[in-house]
Amino acid sequence: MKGTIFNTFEAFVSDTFGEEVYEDILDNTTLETTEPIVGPGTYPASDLIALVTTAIGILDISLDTALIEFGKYAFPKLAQSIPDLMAGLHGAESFFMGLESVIHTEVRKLDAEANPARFTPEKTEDGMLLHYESPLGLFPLVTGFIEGVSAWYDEPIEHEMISSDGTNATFKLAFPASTSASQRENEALAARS
Amino acid sequence: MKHSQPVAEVDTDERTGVLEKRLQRARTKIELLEGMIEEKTRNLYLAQEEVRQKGAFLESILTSMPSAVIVTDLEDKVTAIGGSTSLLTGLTEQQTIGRSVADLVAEHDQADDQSPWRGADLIAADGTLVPVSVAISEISSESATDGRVMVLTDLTEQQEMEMQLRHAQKLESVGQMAAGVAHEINTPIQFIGDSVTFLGEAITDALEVLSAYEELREMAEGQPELKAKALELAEIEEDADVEFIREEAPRSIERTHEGVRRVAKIVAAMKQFSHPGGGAMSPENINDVIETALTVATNEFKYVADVNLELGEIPNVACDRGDIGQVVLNLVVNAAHAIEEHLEPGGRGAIDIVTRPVNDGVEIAVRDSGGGVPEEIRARIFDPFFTTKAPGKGTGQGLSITHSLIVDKHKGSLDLDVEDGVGSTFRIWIPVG
Repeated sequence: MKGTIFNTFEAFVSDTFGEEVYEDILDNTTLETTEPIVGPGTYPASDLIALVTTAIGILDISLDTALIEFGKYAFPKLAQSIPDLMAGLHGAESFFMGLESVIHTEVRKLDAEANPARFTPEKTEDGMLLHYESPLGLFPLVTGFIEGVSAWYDEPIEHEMISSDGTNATFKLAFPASTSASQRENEALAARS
Repeated sequence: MKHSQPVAEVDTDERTGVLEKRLQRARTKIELLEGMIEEKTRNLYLAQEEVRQKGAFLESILTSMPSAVIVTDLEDKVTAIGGSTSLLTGLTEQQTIGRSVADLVAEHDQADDQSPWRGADLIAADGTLVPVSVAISEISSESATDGRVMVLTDLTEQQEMEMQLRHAQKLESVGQMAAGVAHEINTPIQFIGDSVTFLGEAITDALEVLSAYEELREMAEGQPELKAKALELAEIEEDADVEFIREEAPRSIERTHEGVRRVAKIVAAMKQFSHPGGGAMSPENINDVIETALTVATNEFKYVADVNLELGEIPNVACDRGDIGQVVLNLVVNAAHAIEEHLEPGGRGAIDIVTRPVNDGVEIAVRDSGGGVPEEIRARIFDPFFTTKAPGKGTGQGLSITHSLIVDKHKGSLDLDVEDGVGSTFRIWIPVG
């Protein structure tokens, strides 16, 4: 897993609960990685799970809650780090349609051998089905990301995980404000031309 | 969410400890990041260098291609060119990019096309059409077709070579037919010769008998009872112009003999020339070979040049008689053609053939007064199918075959000396063996 996720987790805990709490989590977690984690590095996903497991123990919260909150916190941080790629995605629906290319571009740029989670959007009459596939199966994290996207674009997104089997999940998404989002996208295109 | 240890309740010492740990970790992170940046920078440089080298390699391949390379988009507009496109079209890259392929390439109408070379024509800037073969392949990315790449190969030289080859094949057929005719002529010319010899002897005998009859007729004129018949006989002799027959008949027979001998010599030379003995090497007198070749080639030079022979005392050389005869014929025909091109009206040129022993071999020099091979074509005269002669006049194979037979087969040498404006000398050397 990319170090930037670890660093975002550190920032999430430090900003939300204080730096001392993160140090407490770190002191009470046995990691495979012995050196400080940096953004461009690649580290075992089990280290992040170990940190999260320690965190929910110390903070007395559930894993699902922790992952959802982390997803909500992480999305704007990650989005801000790739302004060029985000510039072409002018709304929540547009973002999810282009998500795969954005993620692949960013992750493979850093690590050609990386095997990132795969998102496959499928448009439906009333919205979209977002198919998620990852050996880590971090479904609540996806829920957090969806809410993060909603906040980022200031668009309500109705979402529900309608199926899951350990490594795959399908989220049903609806965009009640899609008309205004499309209008915003058109305005952005018009402004560019 | 709740937390058992709010930030506000942390004491100063503990806060200092946390900050020191974070500071230390930040320092280590900086060192790690510096190392990563260094490594990434190095890898980036190496990757860029590899890309640059591959790009330069591909560029050199594209540039060195003798064919025109035209890349188009899906609307058949030219997006890039390479190879010899500009050379063949006379258009710069800037003038070509953006044009429709239809402006540059005219495909042959297969139904109406009578030429044996199916394909297309490249349209040059001046409107001339360059015959080309066309290979087209699609350029595809991971998900779609982006355009096409067309490789157009100039067929001009190939077409000329194929035309020369067909002409050479025709000449070969004519040569084989001539050899067959020579074989067929050989037998009748032999019995014609025998018959002419018989007729000569018979006429000599008949003239002797006639002389005896004349003496008898003169004696009979003095006899009254035979005088009338003798005078009648005298009239018949006068009408037949016996005196003329007596003078001209032997000459006529001799001229016929000479003609038959010449025909027999030509036929024998043609037979010898067309049946070289299966390519076997044997000791041969090169001077004899030259004379035989000249007999066959007489018609090629007799109207434009005189042949002067300076055949020296030379040893026999191990060679294929047919090959050397072919070489001499090629050089003499070539010399005659060169002389014809430079001949003043009413003038005659000269072909000098000189043989002499040189080192452990024999040199044959064939010198002509044809003005000399122009400098700009000297490097190509031994190339197969290269010719400056009009279609039908030459096949472009003579000097190529000559070079191959002398240098490759007989391990000899073939050199050209040129006196600009005067003539050329082809100098052959063949080892004794």
